[in-house]
Amino acid sequence: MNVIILFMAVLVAIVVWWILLQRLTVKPWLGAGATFDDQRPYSRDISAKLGLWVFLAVITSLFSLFATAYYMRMHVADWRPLPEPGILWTNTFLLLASGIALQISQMTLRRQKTSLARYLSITAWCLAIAFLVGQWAAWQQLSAAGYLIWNNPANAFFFLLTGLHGIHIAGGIWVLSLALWRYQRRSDSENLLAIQLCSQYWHYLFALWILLFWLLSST
Amino acid sequence: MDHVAIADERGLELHEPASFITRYIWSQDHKVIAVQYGITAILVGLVALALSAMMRLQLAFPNSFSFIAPGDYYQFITMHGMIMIVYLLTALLLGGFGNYLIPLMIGARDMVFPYLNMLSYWVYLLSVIVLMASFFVSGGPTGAGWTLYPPQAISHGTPGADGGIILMLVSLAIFIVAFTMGGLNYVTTILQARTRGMTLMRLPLSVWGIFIATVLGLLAFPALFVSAVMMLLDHIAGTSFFMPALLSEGELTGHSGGSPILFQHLFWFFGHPEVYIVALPAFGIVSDLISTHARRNIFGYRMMVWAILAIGVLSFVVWAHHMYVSGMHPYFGFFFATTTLIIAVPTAIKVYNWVLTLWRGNIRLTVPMLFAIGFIFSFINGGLTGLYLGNVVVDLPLSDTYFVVGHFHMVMGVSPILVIFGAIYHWFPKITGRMLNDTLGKVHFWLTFLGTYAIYLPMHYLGFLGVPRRYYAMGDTEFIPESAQSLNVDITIAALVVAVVQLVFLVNLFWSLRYGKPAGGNPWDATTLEWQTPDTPPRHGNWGQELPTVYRWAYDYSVPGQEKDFIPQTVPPTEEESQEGTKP
Repeated sequence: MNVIILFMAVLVAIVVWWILLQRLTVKPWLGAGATFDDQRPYSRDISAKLGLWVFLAVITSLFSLFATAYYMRMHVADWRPLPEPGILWTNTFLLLASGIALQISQMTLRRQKTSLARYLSITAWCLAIAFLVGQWAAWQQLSAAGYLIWNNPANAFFFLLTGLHGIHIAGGIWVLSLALWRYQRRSDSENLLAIQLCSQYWHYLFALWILLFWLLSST
Repeated sequence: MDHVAIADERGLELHEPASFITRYIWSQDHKVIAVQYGITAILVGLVALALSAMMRLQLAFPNSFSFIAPGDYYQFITMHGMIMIVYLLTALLLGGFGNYLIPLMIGARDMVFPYLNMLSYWVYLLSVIVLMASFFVSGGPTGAGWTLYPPQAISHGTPGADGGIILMLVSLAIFIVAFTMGGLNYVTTILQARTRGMTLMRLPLSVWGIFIATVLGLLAFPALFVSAVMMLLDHIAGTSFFMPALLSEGELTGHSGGSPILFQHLFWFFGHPEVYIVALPAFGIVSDLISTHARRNIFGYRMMVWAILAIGVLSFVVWAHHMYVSGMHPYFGFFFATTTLIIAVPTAIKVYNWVLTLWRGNIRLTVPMLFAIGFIFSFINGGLTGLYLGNVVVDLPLSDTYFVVGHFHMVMGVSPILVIFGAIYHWFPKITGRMLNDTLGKVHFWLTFLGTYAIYLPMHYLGFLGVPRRYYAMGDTEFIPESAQSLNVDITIAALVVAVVQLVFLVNLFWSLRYGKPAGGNPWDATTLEWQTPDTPPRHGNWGQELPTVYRWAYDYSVPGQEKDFIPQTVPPTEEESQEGTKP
C-alpha cells in the first residue's frame, strides 16, 4: 500500500506544482484580447518528450501497483524467498552499458558525427538484446534449480516482474530498431529526437530495473 | 503518410487522403477515428442492451424462458456490466468525443501523434473482438459478475470459468493498451497543441473534463491491468496471487495462500476512478450544452475547473467504500466514508453551478438541452443515494440489494448516457452537416427519460424491502411480498419500452444522415471553436490555411450591449472590452 500511496503523493505534488504555474486563478471572462505573447510556438520535440514522460508516469503507476501487491502478498506465511542468480548482476551491467552507449550516441549526434552516433546506437541495441538474453538465462537457471512459477508466490512475482520489465525493454528495442532502420533517410534533427527519446526511456528502464532488483532481492 | 502538421505552417498544402481506404479505414484523421470509436462503441452497447432486456425478462417472468438458465443469467449480468462501463461509456466518451472534440475545441489540426491515435482505435477494436469471441467459446462468456472477484471467477463451476474468463482478461488488457495510446495523445495534445490565445482557462469545460478523466484513466487502468495479468497467471500458470487454498468438488485445487482481498483492492483502485473517468467528460460536456442552450455564460467557470481537479484527486482515495461488505478495520471504514462524503462537495458545487446557469437564462428547449436537464435530475437522484451508501452502517444492509442497482444505474448508467445522447444531438450537425430530426429526438428523450425513472426509481424501494440483487429467481421467500414481484414486472415492461425506443434514435441517425435539414456551420449559435471551422463537416486539417486565434473565453453568451447574444472565441475584442481588460 505504501508504494502506491508514495507514488500518488509524488504525482499529486507534481500536479499541484504544475497547477500553481498555470495561473488557474485568472478570471477568463475579463480581459478579452490577445494574451498570447508568452505562449510558446508548437514544438514537435517538446510534444514527443512530453508524450514519453506521460507514458513513463503510466509505467510507474503500473509497477508501483505491482510493488504494492508484492508487499501485501509477501506477509503471507507461504512466502519462500528465492536465491537471485548471479547472472542478474551481469545483466544489470549490460543494461547500464546499453543506456550509456545511447547517451553517448546522442551526445555525438549533437556534434553532427552522424555515423559514429549510428554505430553507438547499434552497440546499445546489441547490449539491450544481450540483457534480454541474460534475463532469459536467469529464468532458465531458476527453472533448472526447481524454482518454478507455480511453486511459490515469490517465484511467481520474480517471473512476472522480470517478464514485464523485459517486455518494456523489448518494446524499446523495437522502437530503436525502427529509428536505426530509418536512420540514413532522416535528417539529423529527426535522428537526434529519436535517439534522445530512446535514451531517456532506457535510463528510466534502468532505474526501474535497479528498483525491481532491489525489491526482488530484499526478501 | 498523410501527415498533417499541427503547427501553423503558412502556405502549407494539406494533403487529403485520396483513396477510400486511407480516408475511412486506416485513417489518421481524429474526426474519422472518433466516428469509428463511436460506431463500434454503440454497436457493442446494443449487445449489452439486448443482454439487459433478457435479464429483465427473466426477473419478471422467472422460469418462463427455456433459453435463460441460471448460468446464462450470470453471463448476461457480467457481460452487460463490463461492456457498458468499459467498452461503451469509456470508449465513447474518451475515444469518441475526446477524439472529435479535443483538436477542434483547442484549435489544432489533429492529435499530436496521429499514427498512435489510429493504432489506438484498431487495438480497441481488437479488444472488442476478443470480448465478443467469448460468446462463442465452449462454456460461453464469464459469469463472474463484472467485478470478476476471485476465487469464484476462475473456479470450476462458475459459468465461463474456462475460456470465457481468459478472453475477458485478455480483452481488458488489450483495451488498456488501446486506452493508453489514446490517452497519451489526448493529454499531450491538450497541453501542447492549443492554438494562439487558447490559455488553459479559456478551454471549454468539455476539454477540461476529458483532460482530467484521461489523466485518471492513465493512472487507474494500470491497476486493472495488474489484476487482470495476475488473475490470468493464477488461472493459466497455477500461481497463487489471489487464490487461497480451496476445496473444489472434494479436491484441493493446488492453490494456497493467495489473497482475494488483494484483488479487490487492485480492482477498486481502478474501479472507483473509473466512475469519474466516465463522469468527468460527461460533466464537462453537459456544462457546455447547458451554457450554449441557455444562452448564458457558465456560472462559476473557475469553480467548475477546480471542482474537476478536486474530484480527480479525491477519486483515488475512496476506493475501499466498494469493499465495506468485505470487512475492514473500523477506522478504515471511517476514513473511506469520510473521503467519500467529501467528494460530494465539489460535485455539489458543479450541480449548483449548472442550475444557476439555467437561472434566468434564455432557455432554448432543444433536444440537447432536454437531455442536459434530464441529466441534472438523474444525477442529483443518483448522487443523493450515493451519500446513503457512502456510510458504512447504511451500506452494509443495502449493499446486496436492488438499492445499489438503482443508485448505480442512476448515477453511472443513465446520467452519462443522457449526456452522450445530448452530445450526439448537439454535435451531429458538425459531424455530418445535417440536423437530427427534432420530433423524433423529443420522442426519444421523453420516453427514455421517463422510462429510466420507471425502471430505477422502484428499484430503490425493492432495495429497502431487502430484495437481493444478483438472484436468478426469488423463489418462495417469505420476506419478499407479492407486490415486489408485480413491481418487477412493471420494471421489465418499462425496460423493454426504453430498449425499443432506442430504435427511434438509430432510425433518426440514419434518416438524418441522408434527409436531415442542412445545418450550416453554427446551428446552435455557439461560441466554441469547433463551430467556427471554415467547412462543415470540417475537412482534413480542420482549419484551412490558417489556425484560428482565440481572443476570449468560451462562454461569451448574452453579453450586454452586443448585437448578437453570442461572441465566438475567435472574435477580437471591441474597444470597450480592451479598455476593460487593462483595468486591474
